[in-house]
Amino acid sequence: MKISIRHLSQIYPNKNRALDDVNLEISDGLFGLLGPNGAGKSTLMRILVTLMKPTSGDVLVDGLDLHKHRKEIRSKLGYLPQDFSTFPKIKTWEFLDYCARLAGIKDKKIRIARIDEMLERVGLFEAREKLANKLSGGMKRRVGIAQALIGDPKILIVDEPTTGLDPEERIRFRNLLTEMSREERIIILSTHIVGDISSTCRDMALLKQGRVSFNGAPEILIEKARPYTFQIVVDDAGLEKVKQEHIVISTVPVENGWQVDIIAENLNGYNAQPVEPNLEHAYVCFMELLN
Amino acid sequence: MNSLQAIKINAIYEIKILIRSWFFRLFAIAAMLVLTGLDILFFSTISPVPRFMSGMNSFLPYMNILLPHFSQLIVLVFLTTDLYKRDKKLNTSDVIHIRDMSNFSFLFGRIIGIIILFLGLDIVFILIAALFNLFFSDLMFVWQAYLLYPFVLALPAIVFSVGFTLLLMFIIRNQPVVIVLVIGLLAGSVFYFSKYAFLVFDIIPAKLAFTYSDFTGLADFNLLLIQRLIWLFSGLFMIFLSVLFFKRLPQSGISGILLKILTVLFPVVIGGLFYVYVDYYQSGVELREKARKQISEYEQTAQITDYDIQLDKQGDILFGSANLAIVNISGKDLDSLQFFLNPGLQVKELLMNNSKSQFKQNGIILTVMSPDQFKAGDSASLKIEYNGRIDDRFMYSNIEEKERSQTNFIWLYRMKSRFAYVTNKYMLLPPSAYWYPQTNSSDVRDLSKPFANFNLTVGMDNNLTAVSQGKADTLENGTYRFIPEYPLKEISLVAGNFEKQTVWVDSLRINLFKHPDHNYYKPYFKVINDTLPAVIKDLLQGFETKVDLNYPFRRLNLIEVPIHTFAYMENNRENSIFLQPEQVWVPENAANLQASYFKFMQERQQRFGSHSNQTFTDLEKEIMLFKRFVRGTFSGDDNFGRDSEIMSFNPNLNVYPLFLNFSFGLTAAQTEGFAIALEANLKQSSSGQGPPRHWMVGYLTDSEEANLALAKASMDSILKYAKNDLVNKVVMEKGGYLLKQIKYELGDKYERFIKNLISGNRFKSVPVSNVSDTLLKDYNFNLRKAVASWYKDDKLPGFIFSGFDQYQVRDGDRLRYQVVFVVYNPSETDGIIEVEFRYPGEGRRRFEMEENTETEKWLFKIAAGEAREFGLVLDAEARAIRINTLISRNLPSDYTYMFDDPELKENKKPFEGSEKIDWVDYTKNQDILIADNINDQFDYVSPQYRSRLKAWIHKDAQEKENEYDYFRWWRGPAQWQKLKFPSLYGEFVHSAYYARTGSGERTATWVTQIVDPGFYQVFVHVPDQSDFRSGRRESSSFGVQKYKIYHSEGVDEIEIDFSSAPAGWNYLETYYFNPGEAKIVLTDEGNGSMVLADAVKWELKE
Ligand SMILES: Nc1ncnc2c1ncn2[C@@H]1O[C@H](COP(=O)(O)OP(=O)(O)OP(=O)(O)O)[C@@H](O)[C@H]1O
Ligand SMILES: [Mg+2]
Repeated sequence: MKISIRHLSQIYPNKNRALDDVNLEISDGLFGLLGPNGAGKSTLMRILVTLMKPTSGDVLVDGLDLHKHRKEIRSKLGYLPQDFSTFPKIKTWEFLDYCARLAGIKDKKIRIARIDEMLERVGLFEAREKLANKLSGGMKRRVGIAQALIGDPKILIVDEPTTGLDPEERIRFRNLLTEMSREERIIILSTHIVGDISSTCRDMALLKQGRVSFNGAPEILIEKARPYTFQIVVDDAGLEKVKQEHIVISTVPVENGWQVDIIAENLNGYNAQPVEPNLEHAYVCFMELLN
Repeated sequence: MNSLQAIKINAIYEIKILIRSWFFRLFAIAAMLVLTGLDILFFSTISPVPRFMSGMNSFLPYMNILLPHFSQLIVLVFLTTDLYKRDKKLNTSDVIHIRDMSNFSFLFGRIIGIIILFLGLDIVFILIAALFNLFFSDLMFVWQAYLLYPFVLALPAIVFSVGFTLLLMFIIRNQPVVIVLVIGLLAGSVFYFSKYAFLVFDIIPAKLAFTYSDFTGLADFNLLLIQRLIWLFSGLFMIFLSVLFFKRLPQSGISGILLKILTVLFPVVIGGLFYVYVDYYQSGVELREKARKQISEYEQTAQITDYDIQLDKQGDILFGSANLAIVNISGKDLDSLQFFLNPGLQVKELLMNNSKSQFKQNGIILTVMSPDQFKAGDSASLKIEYNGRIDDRFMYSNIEEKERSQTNFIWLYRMKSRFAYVTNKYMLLPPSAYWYPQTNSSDVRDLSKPFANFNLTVGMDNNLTAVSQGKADTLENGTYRFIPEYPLKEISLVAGNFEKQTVWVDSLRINLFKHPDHNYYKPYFKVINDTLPAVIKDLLQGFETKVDLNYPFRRLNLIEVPIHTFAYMENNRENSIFLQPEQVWVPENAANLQASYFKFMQERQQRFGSHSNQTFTDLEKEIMLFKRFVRGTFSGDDNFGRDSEIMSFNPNLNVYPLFLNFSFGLTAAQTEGFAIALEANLKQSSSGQGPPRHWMVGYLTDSEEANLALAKASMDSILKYAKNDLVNKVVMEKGGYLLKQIKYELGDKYERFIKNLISGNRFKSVPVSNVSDTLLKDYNFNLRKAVASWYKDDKLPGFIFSGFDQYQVRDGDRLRYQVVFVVYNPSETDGIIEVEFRYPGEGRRRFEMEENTETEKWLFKIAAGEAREFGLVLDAEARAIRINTLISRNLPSDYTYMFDDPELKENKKPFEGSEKIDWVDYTKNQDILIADNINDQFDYVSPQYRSRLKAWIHKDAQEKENEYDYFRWWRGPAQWQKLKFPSLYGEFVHSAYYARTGSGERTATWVTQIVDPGFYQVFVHVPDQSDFRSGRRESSSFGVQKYKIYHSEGVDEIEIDFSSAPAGWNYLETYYFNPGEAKIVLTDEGNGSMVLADAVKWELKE
């Protein structure tokens, strides 16, 4: 599968330019969409799941226009919106059953097996008889994940899926995605939690104010940040100064003061050590320094 | 996934969600419980509910759907607005929207879910009814009704409510506002819009006639279906529109286009249906307007003397062929002739004297162009071939359109009137349907209609049994011939799938034609069978004695007809369609006959038995029950009190027209007053117990209403200008009065005269001139003169009574009771009063084992300006004398005087007859000044503190303010209201005003002009408290009243306690009065629950 996004722009009726000439090629595997709040991630995803028609530009899925072939493409979609809740007065398994039916699983036996499997996978088997909208926030999220996955979609689009999940569950979810990405399938994951991406994504894009400021493998992104990543050790007064002059990623107390990671074009006047950058460094670097 | 599947899935889940809403559950459970309870109450074998509320088989499913329907729609509206809200609020729908289905499938599926859920609820309700019907009641299971109510009655309203709610929700987006608007519209459709356009706007439907007859189904199924489709389609239309509005994405291909087509198509279809519906009824209105005109312009020129009719029924089409012998009675030579013929029947060929004639049909008139001049007095033969579908819309065009456009109801059940039917399984053809050519309008069935010889052959399909007048022969399968043994004025034809039961009473054959499954009466009559002929004979003789005439026909056919025939009140009273020569039409299953409430009567019988320590055998009990039923139904007796609103559904099946109108005729128009009188008199005497009893005291009776009208206008102008209802009352009273005048003049010979007149001229028309000649020659009574003044008189007599006494006298060696009383007639018109007596021990309701014994009545005449003392000698002591002032200014028109214990007066001789005496009218005494609650002697003030809304609601009540009302003993009126009771003060009109007690805002003022100054004694008139008593209530509503007396020294307030003061003039005080106006004011302060303003008196002390 392959999704090509070309010159995609979205201007909301209130003149809000949420996407500005976005061009992306997405192929099988896990694709991470990273960007600060308001960058346009959700907007892009809503366009991809055909909930919205873009102002201009087009999206091709395996060469087919997304909009014209909505019907076929929808049958391959799984989607978890950013804020998800279920109908009132409906049990967890019933909700999944509803989604499974809509996803086209007609055979009752298969459907029930599939629901049970999904419930197990997201760790909700015990809560199957509970009313879905009475679950905890994290559990609701998991129901959302389950419904997105239930039809075994070829294109899975999840908008910040891990917010509200406890660490254990987050790891489980990451593993689930990784596992799923081994099959022939596109998974697009938006997040502003850098950790979500670093471990799993083969490919990613960085969105900033509606524009793609980076597109490629996470390793390349990290590589690009290497010249700008430094580490210094300062005392208390030095820390205050550094904080004012530079972008500080992290501060760790050490014997003789603070060990500080900094993003900067150059760091004259300090005893700076180059440091091995991680995705977080790269992300901040891109957001604050580059472009 | 195809869209049908998507719709299904969404519907299922919508239902799952809604069914868990507490609002829905609460409603559903409550409704089911209430319905089950009501079903038991109404329809179980032990039901205590009157039959008119439960007598039809279809009433059970009808009630189960209609009763919860409105509240169900309210719940539905709430849940529908919720659906919209839910969808707006939750992003869940994003998850669902990206699924492979169209916007349409999603929304429509959910909407269908709501609809199915509520329809399902109705199906549960109807299943409750069905279970009940099959296992716990005696009702017949009418499966059509079980489909009709949920799908035709309920479904369109459900769909409409959903559609309208959704559409408004998309436009207004405010849940409370939408709910108020939708419920407002639904309620408005019941109370307001349903007034217009023949109930087309009755969405719910609260007023459409959904009563289902076991014979003919709905009164107008096709039209009703159209009305329902209008709302079903409107609902669907709005649902589709909403889906269009609710656009998340452009509609997907096919359904988008489909939707657009529907959006255009629906309004066209709805408009078309609307047109068809309204046009059908509107053209009915026009047809009737035309019929009214045609009837009033119609002039009879020919008379049909012989009929030979051949009629074939095929489905709902009639094929008729009528051979007529006609006579030209116009006195002129004629080029053309006019007949009445049903407008739905088309004449195909017409032969006059065996040669083809031109003809024209217009409305209800068939005009025949005579090939040769039809000479005065000549006879001719006419052969008319016609066929078509009977149209009954023109019938009874005299019923007001306003009344007609509404449906009548019994409890919840609505019914619409039908007067004629030809359906596959049933046929009902009264003569007034003009199913054969006629030369007299059948709308009015007066005595003047001429007789003709009939001969009818009918061919029936579907194995129907036909019933008509005359001896019936079955010629071959499905073909019947009817030949009446005597001439008749008209014939009727009924056919259905009947079961026939016959009882011979001597040579009279009584047939019951009933629905084979209508057997509800059977459990009550198990042993009576062999005794039935004797019992019926007994009843018949009783009626014959009462009306003093014999039953004239060879047979009596009681035929069950659809309930819709009974839907008009108007029809219940006059021109009763249910009575036909030799026939009485009985409402199906006797559903609205009060006297068929056997269960209730059985219980009363039981109670009566245990009261009087009498034990009856089963047979005796059944005989009593049967007699009660027959008397209550066919002779106008009833034990229920006719005036309570709900009871007036009882149709008037009083059979007197069979004894008079259908078998005897009077011709000549000038003295038709006599014909009216004859009929009215017979009707009065046939309906037994005199004026109906009222549970409300002080009610204006029919005869009082008639008197009030006659005091203002002559009979002539009332006949011309008054409303039907009033005309009927006046005709009854004044008609009876004319006969009483004759009776008074003829004395003992009267009975023989009437009997000779009618029984001696059966099946003939007698010219009234013959009657008046006989009366003049043999009895010296000038009928012409009497009838002329009967029409013209607009001055009524009035009577003042006094001197009532009863004492014992010696009559030979017997002790007898002498009654004397004085009557003064100060008016300019002679008057007649009727006197009867009440005897001790009478008056408590007897349960009929014995016949109604007629009490003896005397007529007395008092000439204008004369006072007479009357004397009567009775064999037994009377408890009270009751005087009916008949046609007069007296109000109330019934006056009862209770006698004291009689003492023996040895010096008195028995005195029978009357003596003229001088009347001293003390009211004319200069020294006695009386102010009554009339004219310039009296005025009153009622504060106006009603709110606007209240005033609007009470508009009708306000308009009636100055009329008489019955006595509201439970609470006095807020405004002064007029009352009439015998013991109230008045010359002829014994009236007063009353109001509820208050804090002094309401006042009543009496004034008089003092001429001679001096000391006057002031009196207040107090009525007899027993007049005001109703039922078992003992305490008086009146208490202390405060009168302000204005005199020369100032004002004094005097109190008097009405609850303990004796009846009559009560002395208050003596004051000095100067010449000029004197006044006495009563306020509404007091310790009773109401105050009464009657009359005051100033009496000069010498
Ligand atoms: N329905 C809307 N109408 C108008 N503007 C909108 C609408 N939805 C989003 N926006 C604007 O579009 C821009 C992009 O929003 P979007 O939700 O796509 O960002 P995001 O990257 O998903 O942010 P977050 O990380 O906070 O979820 C924002 O400036 C937002 O205010
Ligand atoms: Mg977002």
